[in-house]
Amino acid sequence: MQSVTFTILRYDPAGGGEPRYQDFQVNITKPGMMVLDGLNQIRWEQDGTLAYRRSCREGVCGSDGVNVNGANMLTCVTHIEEVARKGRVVIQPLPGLPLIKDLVVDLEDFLRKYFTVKPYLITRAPAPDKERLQSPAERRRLDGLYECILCACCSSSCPSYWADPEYLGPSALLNVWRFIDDSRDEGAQERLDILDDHHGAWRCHTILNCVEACPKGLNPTKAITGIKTALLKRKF
Amino acid sequence: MGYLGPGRSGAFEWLFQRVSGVVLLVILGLHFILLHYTGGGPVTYEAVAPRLADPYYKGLQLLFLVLGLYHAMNGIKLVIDDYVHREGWRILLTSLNWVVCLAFGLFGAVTVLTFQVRP
Amino acid sequence: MSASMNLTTHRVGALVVGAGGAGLRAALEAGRLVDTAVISQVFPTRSHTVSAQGGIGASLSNVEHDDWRYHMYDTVKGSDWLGDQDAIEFMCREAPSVVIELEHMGLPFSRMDDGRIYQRAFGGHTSKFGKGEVHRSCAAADRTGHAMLHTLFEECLKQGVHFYNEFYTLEILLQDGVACGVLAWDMVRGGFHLFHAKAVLLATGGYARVFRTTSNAHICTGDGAALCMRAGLPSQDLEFLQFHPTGIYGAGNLITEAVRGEGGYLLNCKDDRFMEVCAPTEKDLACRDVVSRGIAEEVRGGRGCGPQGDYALLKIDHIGKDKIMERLPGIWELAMVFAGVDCTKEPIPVVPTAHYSMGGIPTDRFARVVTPGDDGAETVVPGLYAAGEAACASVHGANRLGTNSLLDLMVFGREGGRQMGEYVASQSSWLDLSESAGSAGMAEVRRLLNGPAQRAMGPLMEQLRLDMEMHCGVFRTESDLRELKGKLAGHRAAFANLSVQDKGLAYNLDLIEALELGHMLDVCSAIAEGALARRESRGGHYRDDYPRRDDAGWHKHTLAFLEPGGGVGLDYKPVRMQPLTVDSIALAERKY
Repeated sequence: MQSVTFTILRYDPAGGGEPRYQDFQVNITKPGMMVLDGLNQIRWEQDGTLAYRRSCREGVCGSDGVNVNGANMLTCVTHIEEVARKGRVVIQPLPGLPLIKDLVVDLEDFLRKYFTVKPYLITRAPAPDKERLQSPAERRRLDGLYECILCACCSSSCPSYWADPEYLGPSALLNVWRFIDDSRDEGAQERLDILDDHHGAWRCHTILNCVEACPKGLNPTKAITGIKTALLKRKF
Repeated sequence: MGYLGPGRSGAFEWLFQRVSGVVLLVILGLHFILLHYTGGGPVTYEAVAPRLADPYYKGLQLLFLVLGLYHAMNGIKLVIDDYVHREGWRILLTSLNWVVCLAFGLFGAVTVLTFQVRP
Repeated sequence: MSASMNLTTHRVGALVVGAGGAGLRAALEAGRLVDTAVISQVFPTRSHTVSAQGGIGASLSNVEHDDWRYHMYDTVKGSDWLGDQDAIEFMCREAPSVVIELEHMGLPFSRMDDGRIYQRAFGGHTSKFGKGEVHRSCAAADRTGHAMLHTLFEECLKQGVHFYNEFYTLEILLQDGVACGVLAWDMVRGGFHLFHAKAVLLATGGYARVFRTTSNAHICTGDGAALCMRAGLPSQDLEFLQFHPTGIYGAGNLITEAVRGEGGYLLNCKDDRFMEVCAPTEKDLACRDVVSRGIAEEVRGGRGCGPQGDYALLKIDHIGKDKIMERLPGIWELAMVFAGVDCTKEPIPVVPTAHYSMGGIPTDRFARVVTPGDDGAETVVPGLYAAGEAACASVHGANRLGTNSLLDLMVFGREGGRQMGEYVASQSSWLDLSESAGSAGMAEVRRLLNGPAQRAMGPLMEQLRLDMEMHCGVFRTESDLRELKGKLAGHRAAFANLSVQDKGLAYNLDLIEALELGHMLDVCSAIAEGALARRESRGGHYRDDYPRRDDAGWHKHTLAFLEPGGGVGLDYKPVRMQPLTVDSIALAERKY
């Protein structure tokens, strides 16, 4: 593969026009080139006006979630060869979120939902002088939850999230379960009060797009099932 | 907001969808066994009618009807909620969902309740 | 000029620039005392702290007996005696308390069977002043930085800290030598914002992005050091850059030292464990500068692996798949994605990668920025603080120990935040800003936006990073550095005539990268000048032509000043050898 066509959705808020697609040729200069390397090549050598977010370029900062050939992923850990179809890669911003420019979306509402669920440790008992004890088994319950990077790939792939502007979404729900399920946390009840709502956990219809989309291999649906079970236990 | 939610938390709907699903599975099994493995002989009006006129069997049929319609209507409502984004369409389809379900319910209930064996 | 190029002014008590580990920790502390705001180039959880892997060092004694004095000794020795011993003592003594505090905030540390925080072995960390082994690195699997950054941000949410995200700092405002705010650019909407503050804490991260092969994020471009130099303040010890021995070959991404802490080791093409020769006692867990040179020597000596013989292999599969997946899951993922290697079966190809900036903005142990003044080598700049990788306290001296970076963030973030909070509380009003406040920063943006777009900027930045790597890498020589200086002058000239292609205001990444390139050029000039002058080898700075450490001539910190013409002037200040409560650790030969 010598070169790959990147079809990128362009949008310039100053231009006043509608979003449109633009094709670029990306030269494959080394094995294992990532989609981000392609975007950098375009911006550095062809068109400096292309906008996208990126930072760590190793899949942990969560800046660079975009939609590639219809699926949400991080540009920095996605090999061009793996996603190119007939020599073409179609790149769009994450769906269902307001556009700022090109591939840059407005995450304010996404983050507001994350802030809503009190994503921090809530404790009532005064802290001991040393660390709070937690058994390895209790700690293992947090694996698959604390690794979230807030990239919004999951929530922006969720039809329920697209449809209901008030739905908390898989990311916020995964993050709240990370605390409810933490043996050190004492804030479960006040969080469950927030979640017991038709814009909360019950809005999840187990479509499982979030599981497919998560670039860290996390399972928000499983976390939401945990929340639902906790809510039912409390209610009935 | 444009979201035509149930006005409640959704916990009941979620739970009852699962409960009704399990009950439906049981009734459906029962239904199949009754239809295909009992009574022997050819399926004739004389063989089936008395069963359909039996009040206990009518009760079972009504339960089947109510749960089936609830389950289907709730399911369709969720699909509309998730995939129909325009407010007008959503109101139209949700209303249609209600109307169709009520109509089927009424039709079904009348059929089951009024059935008598005609000699 | 478009309306959104207007200037918006904000008034805050304490202002933190940068929302990584140090910035967030400082904001938490200052926020308890005074009105505090944080401005950050990226959303806080995207800061580069998120990439830290192995752990945070603290003598908790959870595995075996440990003592902060041992930690201090290791740190001084690791720094090749260039670290300031008062700051080092302070950091090592505070270490257990900052770790416990993080646990109380909710950081999901890995655990030992009895429920206490899991600690692992790490390079350069020893017990009993170099005589025994120790497990000192408190870890959350191999995602400690991620866990830490998210925990701190969560705590900030709980406390209600005010954030201005995606604001890029253009200028530090000093009024008669007193800090009174910064000028920033709103990256999302465009437009200038002047943050008028009673005090400013810089936590802007490091500058290792100036090298081509680097473990650092795109945003680690030395903004803090460059802005300080432009404001007339010095930067300190910039020539000391840590090359981490194990970056993924071809990509530069970090493979944590914890791999070796958990039992991994390095091999050359002959399947020899060459570190057994380079560092007979510590072997693969010697300090990073030592191991990096070990690998580079193997490659130079023709014993590198691969078709070009230009990397070493890091073997870890022998500890077993279960252990790898429990303790190093992130490494498995990185090796898979970036090297195509399943590390539970095969070794990982690694090369030294530019990793950590020991140098930065000079501070004392209270995180106050210092500059040579009338009363000696260290006069405090009132109202200006710096913490974390952006700062140079100096606790890392010529070479940082693994796990001490996260510790530095927490200890000096907390101390800086506290000092700043108290200072702000003692100031009754804001200093008046002069008419010209922010004019330099605004002029820079206008020049880049309004000029004609002649050439793409990317190739210039790539050339700069390549030049730094070729001429100022693991091994340095006089002739190489002289050549580099010439090339840098050329790059500066090219940059002076450059303007960006993107003329828009909303999310103009082209503009931000051009501003970063300007900062990188300043930092590179200071690195090259400092490295050329320093005719000795110490820690991360290795001169092929002066391979020995020279305490008589060079046991001192470099201070670099930016001169009006773009040149760099050097000054020096002594290393603070006197700790706070214990005896000084005297200069000695550094052997592992």
